[in-house]
Amino acid sequence: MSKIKPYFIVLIIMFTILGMFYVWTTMESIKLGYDINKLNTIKSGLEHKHKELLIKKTALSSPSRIYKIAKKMGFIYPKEGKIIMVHD
Amino acid sequence: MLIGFTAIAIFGGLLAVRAFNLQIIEGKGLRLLARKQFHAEIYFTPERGNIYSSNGSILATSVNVPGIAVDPLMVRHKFKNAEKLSGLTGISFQKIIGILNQGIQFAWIKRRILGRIAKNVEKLGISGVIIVKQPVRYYPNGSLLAHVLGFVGINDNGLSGIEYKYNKFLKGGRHALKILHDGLGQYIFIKGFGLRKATHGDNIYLTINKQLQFITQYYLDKEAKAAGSRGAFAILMDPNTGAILAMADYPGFNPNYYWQYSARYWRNRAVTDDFEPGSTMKPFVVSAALMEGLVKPDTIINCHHGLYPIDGITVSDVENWFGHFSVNQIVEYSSNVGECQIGMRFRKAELYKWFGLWGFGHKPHAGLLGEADGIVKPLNKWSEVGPCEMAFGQGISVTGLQEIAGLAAIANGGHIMKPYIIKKIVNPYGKIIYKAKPEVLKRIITPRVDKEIKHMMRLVVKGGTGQYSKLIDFKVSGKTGTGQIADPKTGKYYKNKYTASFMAFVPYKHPELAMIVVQEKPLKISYYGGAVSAPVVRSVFKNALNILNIYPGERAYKKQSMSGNNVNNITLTKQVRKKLTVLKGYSGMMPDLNGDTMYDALKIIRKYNLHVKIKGSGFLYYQNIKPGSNMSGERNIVLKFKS
Repeated sequence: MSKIKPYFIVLIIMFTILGMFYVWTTMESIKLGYDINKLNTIKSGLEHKHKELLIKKTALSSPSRIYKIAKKMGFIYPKEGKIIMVHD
Repeated sequence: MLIGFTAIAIFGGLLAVRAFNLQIIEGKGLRLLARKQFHAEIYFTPERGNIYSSNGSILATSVNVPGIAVDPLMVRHKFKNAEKLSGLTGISFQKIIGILNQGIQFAWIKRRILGRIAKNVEKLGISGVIIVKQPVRYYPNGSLLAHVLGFVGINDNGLSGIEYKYNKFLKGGRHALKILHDGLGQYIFIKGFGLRKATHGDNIYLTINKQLQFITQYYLDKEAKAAGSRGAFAILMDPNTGAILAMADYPGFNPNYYWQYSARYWRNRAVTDDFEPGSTMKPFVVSAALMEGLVKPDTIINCHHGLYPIDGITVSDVENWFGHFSVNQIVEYSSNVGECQIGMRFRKAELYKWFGLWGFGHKPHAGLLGEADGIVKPLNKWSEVGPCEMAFGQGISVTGLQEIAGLAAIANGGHIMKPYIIKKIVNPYGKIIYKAKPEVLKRIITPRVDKEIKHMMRLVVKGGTGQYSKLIDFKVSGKTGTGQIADPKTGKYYKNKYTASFMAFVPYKHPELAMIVVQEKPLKISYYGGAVSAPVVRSVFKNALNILNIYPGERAYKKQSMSGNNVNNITLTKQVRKKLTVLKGYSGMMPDLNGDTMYDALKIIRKYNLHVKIKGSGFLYYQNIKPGSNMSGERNIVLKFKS
């Protein structure tokens, strides 16, 4: 009995450590899962914002809008023969 | 000690029995129960793919727009809450209370509201009232390309145009995502769960150039309004590839509010409508006659002073001075009498074959919704004078897309190119799943015949019926057409209803652009294609060539710069005239440009072989090459301007 005892104790300690390690990794994994979830939410928010800005940019650079503004500012299409080609 | 171990063993045994019971005997049921509690499947409505112009500018996209939904069974104090909602949304109290009194579990109060209003409704915290975000199609350029793009219904299905035809690509797949959540309902992302992305729709890139589309639409609208046309369309094509660069229809509509327009406005006339083309058919028939050796450009035909009775009908011309014309002149002045006689030189089957070769009577398959075949009557239904009438575009119907495909062949040296509007389709992960390549369908005319017909079309613009399309810097070739419209009830032609068309390409020798403009029933100004449609082509060509950085050749420049004070409508300022005079004998020296405007300075120095760098605007105050310097060879010059 006295021979078995130390091994038994070592076994229990090992199982305990292993169990604690398992619980720790699982907890970490879940914690990381939450973090990923949060980051995903931020990411999709930023993607949404990016798309919004892109759409805004497209609407602002719409040719009809630019034409109206240019017309208001007195811009006109160059008349024929008024364009001079130069090499840059 | 023994007792202790015995107790542990018994306890362990009990645990093992319980574990066996839970894992093996009740395991299946319990696992199912746990899955129900912690696992869930959420459904993503896939994001509809975008539609882009050729250079990647968004033409159609989807945005999530909030709407107010309600479970009427959950709403308490209905009158009070209906009043609150009505005050915030502007929807009538009667309507809201009507919805709240329904005995159902889901109803929309309003499907699209402003984000600001959505926030205020959320703040009310009415139980049973929720804000739901729904994807809504948005066209940031408004009416630009509306007829081609089409529009999308409230259930995210395309109802018209590209949106309809390519719905299966754009829509994507409804996708369930496996997730794990905790007791608070928060999603937990663990390996194997939730890592798959929803299948969004594919993105479609068109061959449309946004800037060219705008100017095409702008000038078509302007001229069609001025001409009082019932409808009109224009197509701009790259004749060397068959790519459609612009396609515009009049009247227009805004696809963001498509329901506010009647269906008449939605139709893409350029592909769905066939019409009797009138004289724009002539170049195709003359090319065929040249190919068959029935005529030569200088073959003389008697045009009978504009009146030609044949087999019970009388063919007439606009003018009565048309005597003996060469084939060149028949095209230049658009003589129906002359063209009729060219048509009569064909055997019927021969002409029928040529119509087929040009693509008339067949869908062009350009990738657009509702492409029509046009009408080429079967041979057994041709009257004796059928070839005569069809030669000047009567008794045959074509679509604008068919005509421009034929015109492109004349422009590019004789190859029928397959017209196309889809440039590429890219899946949500960036992989190209379809890419268009220019496709030569057949060579239809020889280079010699092509040269001859191009020359005839050049004459049309130079001194014939298409002079309103003339440009100063570029040579345009084209053909006018004024087709009579038939009364569908009687089959006879109306006396005052016409289709006014003009088709042309530019530059004459190496065409980069081909265009057709067709106006239906122009009532004001004129009903001739040369008068109401040619100016649209002229304006579009003039601006499109600038946009595409296509400039006149060196010869044109030399002509422009050295040909006097007011040639080519260029008025030189006194100062420039003086400088040019001074430079006449000393063209190898750098002139003094100090105080010149940018235009004047560039006008003077363009004759030298210089790479120019410009800074600022206004009047010139600095030039890095000193006046009087030797200007032989290639050099760089920096010009600085200030106001």
